[in-house]
Amino acid sequence: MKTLGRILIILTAFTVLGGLMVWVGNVNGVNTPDFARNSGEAEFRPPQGDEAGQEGSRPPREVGENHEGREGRGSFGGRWVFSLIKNVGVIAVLVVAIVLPKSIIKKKRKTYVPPT
Amino acid sequence: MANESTKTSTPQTKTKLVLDILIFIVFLVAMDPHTSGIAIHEWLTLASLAALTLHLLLSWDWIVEITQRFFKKIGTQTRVNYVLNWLLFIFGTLVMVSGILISEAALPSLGIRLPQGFFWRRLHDMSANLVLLLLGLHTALHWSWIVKTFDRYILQPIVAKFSTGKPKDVSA
Repeated sequence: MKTLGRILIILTAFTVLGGLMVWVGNVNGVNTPDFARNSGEAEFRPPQGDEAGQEGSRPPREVGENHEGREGRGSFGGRWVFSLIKNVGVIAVLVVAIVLPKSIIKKKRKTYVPPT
Repeated sequence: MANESTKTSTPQTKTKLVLDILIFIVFLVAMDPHTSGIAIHEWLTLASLAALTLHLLLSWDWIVEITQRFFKKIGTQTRVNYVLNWLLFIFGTLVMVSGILISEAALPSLGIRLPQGFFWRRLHDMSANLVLLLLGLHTALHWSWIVKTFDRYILQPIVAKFSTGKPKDVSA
């Protein structure tokens, strides 16, 4: 029962914080795509209806075509290794930058002999 | 964490170590959605919410203790650690929420479709990078606990297993 209460507290904190973030994002209107309808500037949106067939427009996607959205492109192995090294490297650099000076200071304190 | 490690019982410490290693691996996989694919990236991170909740539950006593004593006399490292943990929670929530809002596989498979927003996508990428930095600091501040616990529950049992398995000298 105690554990259930704690889980509820964690999930409530998560939900409240998440809700607050969504609310702030929506209130500021940052999530509304603005295609500059009133300013007369060029409108960057996918062509619709008859516009789709016009010259210069992007051809429709073939069925079964490789969709390269967030899935990305490039070689699978190389990208995976690079990403792993990058992420572990960032963490390792931070660990070394904090742990090493701390251990050096600790060692200096241990070896320090006060003058008699 | 030094206080935390001395107070927690042995099986709990072991569970915590295993859970932390698991969370770390999941984080590394989740940080590269290009390799794992969007579906795995989304479902894995949603499932990791349970592991993160368990991680917080295992540190509950420490969280309550420091929350009560935060404005009283506590060590600088403990104070920094506490603030850092809150930042990690806030930005972790931001990564999760923005990830849910730009979901391409998990939510659509449940029949939920949200309007795609460029802002949330940018925020998801930025907060994920920030979480990586905060995780590095979190790991650094808990490094002595990690080394001690790893040595005690993983290295020593392995060494003990190999040392007892050596053939005895039967020359006499």
